[in-house]
Amino acid sequence: MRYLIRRLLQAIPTLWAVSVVMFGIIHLAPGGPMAMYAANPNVDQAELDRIEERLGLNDPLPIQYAKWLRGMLTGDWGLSYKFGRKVTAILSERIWPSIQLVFVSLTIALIFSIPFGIFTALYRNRFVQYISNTVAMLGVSIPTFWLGMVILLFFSVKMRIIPSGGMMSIGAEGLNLWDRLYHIIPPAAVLATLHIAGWSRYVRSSMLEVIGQDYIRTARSKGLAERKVIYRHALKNALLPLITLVGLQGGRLIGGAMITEVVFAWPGMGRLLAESLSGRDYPVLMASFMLMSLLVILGNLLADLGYGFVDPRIRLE
Amino acid sequence: MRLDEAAATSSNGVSEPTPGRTESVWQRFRRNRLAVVGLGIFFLMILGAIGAPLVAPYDPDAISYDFLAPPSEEHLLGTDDVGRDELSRLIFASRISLTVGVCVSVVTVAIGTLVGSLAGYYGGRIDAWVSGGINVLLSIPMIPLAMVLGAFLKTNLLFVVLILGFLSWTGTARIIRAEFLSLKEREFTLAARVMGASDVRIIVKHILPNTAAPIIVAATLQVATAILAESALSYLGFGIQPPTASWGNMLQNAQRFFRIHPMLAIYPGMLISLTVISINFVGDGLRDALDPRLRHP
Repeated sequence: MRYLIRRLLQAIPTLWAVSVVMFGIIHLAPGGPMAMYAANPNVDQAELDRIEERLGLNDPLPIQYAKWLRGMLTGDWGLSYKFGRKVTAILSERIWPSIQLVFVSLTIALIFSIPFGIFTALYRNRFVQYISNTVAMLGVSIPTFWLGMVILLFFSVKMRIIPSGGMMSIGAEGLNLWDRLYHIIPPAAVLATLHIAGWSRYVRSSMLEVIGQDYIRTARSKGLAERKVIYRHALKNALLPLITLVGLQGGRLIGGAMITEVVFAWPGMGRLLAESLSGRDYPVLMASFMLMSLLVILGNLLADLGYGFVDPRIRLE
Repeated sequence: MRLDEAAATSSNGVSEPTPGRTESVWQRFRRNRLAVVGLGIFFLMILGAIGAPLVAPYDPDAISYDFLAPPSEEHLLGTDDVGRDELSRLIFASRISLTVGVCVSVVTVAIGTLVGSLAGYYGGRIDAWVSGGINVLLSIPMIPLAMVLGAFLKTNLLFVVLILGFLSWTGTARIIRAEFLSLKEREFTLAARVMGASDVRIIVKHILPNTAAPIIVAATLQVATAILAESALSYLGFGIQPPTASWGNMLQNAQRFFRIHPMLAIYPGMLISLTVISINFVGDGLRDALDPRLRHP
């Protein structure tokens, strides 16, 4: 518990540093929201000055930052330049689809990578080895967005068995679970491929390590069925390192899911980010980056906590 | 394969019989058939990229009235929406991908080695600052950050290289730092210090050569990662801008003609995959050949 609090406290300076870096990058970059208004011939200089004043963009940068920080801490995340709505409202609309996508994709990745990793560890003939190497290599080498495009091309455009994008069918009302699943599976599966490759390799190598241990030999020699040896004794320990990996990479996935979201027209954070970039929507950009970084940090924390939870030998100090 | 995963699997490596000392790196590399094939493909790609004007049948930017033409004898892979020869564009685009891949790798290794060796060698406050900085950088999702930089700065080749380079040195820095932490405690370092060697001399002459193997492996895998990142960035419209052909922006363009000319969306992706796979195989082969300890089971 004390460890948890200390880790959470440690996250604060990291988040703060992220905010300074991002604020700097976003505000110091040439061009800006004012350039957008200035490009409109109907807006004269007096109007421009008024807009600048209203958005608070004429203050010196440190003051702008202080104002932004105060707003962030007090829950007033400002108004989006582009949509004119509260940033908090926009983000809460967009973050759930992203989290759903990431969650389903992590589940799919686990469902495939664990059995695959176990299988390739237990049956170590050349053919299995060859297949597992190839699959792992393909998984990390094929660009996910292209895989998404190919899947859309074959299964949606040609065969018409999956939707071409979006979160639900047009006209679907309420919470139709099947319709939702039907829409979420293709992008989630594409997103999962990257992890299936890495994780099954990971499960495999840690499984191999565990199987060589003395206690497995003991379990075998006392006459336990091989199934029991593998699933009761070996698996639990072999999956330990995976927890860390899932936490570390799961947190990053909201950012990584971005391109997949764009390909499948998924209304999540990724598309929001792409939209706010073109309009230089500073408040939305800052808030999304803070949220994504927070998720990364939480993912790391969860990885450490989960590890200590499953393996009491590891004391978190 | 990602760098940290590569490092992570290595610790679980099942020990292999040590190959004879007389065996050279190349001999060990050659035994890995996939790595050799990968190297061959990579060399062909580089040759094609260098000799693009000779290999490509057309000027990649020359438009014609043959819009979205299917493959024919004149245009082996057909043409795109403004009648440019697809094959020629693919060949010229390989220049972009390979340049970005190699240059980003160089930038990454340069920054990563410098930062990692200083942090690992001096430890203490420098190390704390470097590790803190790396943690901050790692907490910001990379592709979105690259998009912001791409959107706000310029999107020419140089900037894409710099952006990706500055965002991806952390993996290399970590590996080098870990190597330095262990190597600086070894006897040969102590011996050098006793002989009165300066810090710079110890770092450059004594420790760095010993980190060559992981650096080379990391640099190779980084080429593949950078090519993937560039294509993603260009696909999203924040990397290399049209009309300059890059596999990423060709895919973006192809998406609009999905129904009419789907193959336009297939070729560039296949080339990206082929390039990245062959580089990854070379990286794996190098890891096994350079340092048998790092072999994964």
